Amino acid sequence: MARGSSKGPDSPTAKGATMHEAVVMLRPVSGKLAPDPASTRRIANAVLAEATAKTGLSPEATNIMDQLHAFSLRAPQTFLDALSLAKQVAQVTANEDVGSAYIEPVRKRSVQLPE
Amino acid sequence: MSIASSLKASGVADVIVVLKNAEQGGGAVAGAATRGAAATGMPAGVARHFASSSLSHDAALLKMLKSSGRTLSAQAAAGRTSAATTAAVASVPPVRFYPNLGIALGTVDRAGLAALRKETTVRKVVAAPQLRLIKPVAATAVKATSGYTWGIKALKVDVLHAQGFTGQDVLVGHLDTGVDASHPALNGVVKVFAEFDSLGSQVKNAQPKDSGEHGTHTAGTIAGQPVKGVRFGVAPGAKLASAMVIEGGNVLARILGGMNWVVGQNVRVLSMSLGLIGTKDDFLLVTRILRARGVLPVFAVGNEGPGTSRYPGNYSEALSVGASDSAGAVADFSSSQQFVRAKDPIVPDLVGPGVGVISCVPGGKYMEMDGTSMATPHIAGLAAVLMSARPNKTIDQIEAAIFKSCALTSDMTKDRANRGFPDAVKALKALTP
Repeated sequence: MARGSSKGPDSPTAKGATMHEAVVMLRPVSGKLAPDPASTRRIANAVLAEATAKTGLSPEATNIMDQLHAFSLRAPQTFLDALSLAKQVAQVTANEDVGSAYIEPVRKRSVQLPE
Repeated sequence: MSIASSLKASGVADVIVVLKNAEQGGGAVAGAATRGAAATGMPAGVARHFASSSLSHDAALLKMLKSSGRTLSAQAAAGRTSAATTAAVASVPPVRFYPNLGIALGTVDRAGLAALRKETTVRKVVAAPQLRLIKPVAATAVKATSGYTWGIKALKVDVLHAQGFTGQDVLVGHLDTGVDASHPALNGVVKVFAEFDSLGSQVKNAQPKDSGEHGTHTAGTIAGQPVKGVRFGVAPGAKLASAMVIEGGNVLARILGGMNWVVGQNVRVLSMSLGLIGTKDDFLLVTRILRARGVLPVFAVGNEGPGTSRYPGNYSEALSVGASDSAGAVADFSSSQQFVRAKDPIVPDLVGPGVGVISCVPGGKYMEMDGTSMATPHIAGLAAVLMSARPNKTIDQIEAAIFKSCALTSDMTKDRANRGFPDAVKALKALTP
């Protein structure tokens, strides 16, 4: 299930529709968590084409992460909802500001090296 | 914070009032800011609209100074008790007037704001900037001594260096704030660098750089070269595939883009001194995929203390790292948590050197830092050294050897340090047929 915030139905043309960023993890293929990069690209493109056919919409941008069997995209919510129903898709996660991943050092002091 | 959101949140807002005659100095009296409703030179009609509030800028500053143990001045909050501070807060004048600037700084409620905006002498009312005390960094520089740092000696990695195992022929993935590859300690260390946008797409022609100092420090701990006899790089023979992924914004796709890239670079170990507080499965499948692709994920557990942890470091699939000090105790800040799961219920998996860690920072400088971010590259470096010594071993075998070598010191408990602190010599022995 897509977790991007819903803004209601998008227009068929997607003009003016609010775009959401998401990361899509694909299901393992033949028990392989990480199939070869070419397979990932093929499956990702098929899933995207299927969602386009269902919704009449297209993503604004995509990035296939072929080593991780995943892809990210920027698309209307309707498109993401269609993606989340595809049988090849394991997980759709909103790419949103979830806080800082930076682990701030607890203490810092400058260091002088020996002369 | 805007005036509207501040009013909504607390009923009052700190504002700057710009008077219409600001260009002429705003008032007849030159000099420093004057305080109080009767502040010289300020139109009386303006002054009466400000309100005293314990939420005002000055009151907050007084509270902060008291809580940080700092003092204002002889006539201010120095050494006050809680009651005295409260009294001081109550007596804070509701407005400061800066006659040379023709502006007033004070606190208003909704009615005061509306009235101020109607005053004929007022040009505009804007939100006052929020000030914060900057966490002090100790001014005194630490003097480093030549030789190995305490962390490398405690891990006994120096013994493996002496045997010729320094991480050579091992490429380590390093996802952080970036890296200053021009630092003398990182000369020739960064083999490839990348930067990613919010969708995780690689930014073209990105040159190595650090958006802070964190990434350069962790890179130096993994593979820094000796400088002036100081040896802080755990695997100085290793090379880095380094990427900037946490400079802000939507981090999920950016970090995943970095992970995807390092796998494509054929790294054998990934050092990530980053993580998000709590537990969500956003990185779970990917961490499993990293392992399936032969990459050992070494992730920091966090600096929020007992009962807390960050993901993806708290996944059972990650080699999670907490911090210990040179006396063999777990650092107070080091996160640790117990999960209800069959495999690896306690995080971190182990602890590494994470207090008083010397490494390089941008601009040719050096810094000592504390954090699990500092312990993590020690363990990633240790893994790289073991991989260089036993190149045919799988990541599962390398990880198992590190785990087997760990021991709890008398100052460590399982719930805080889990397996304890590793021993490079024992780990190598565990990998020897």
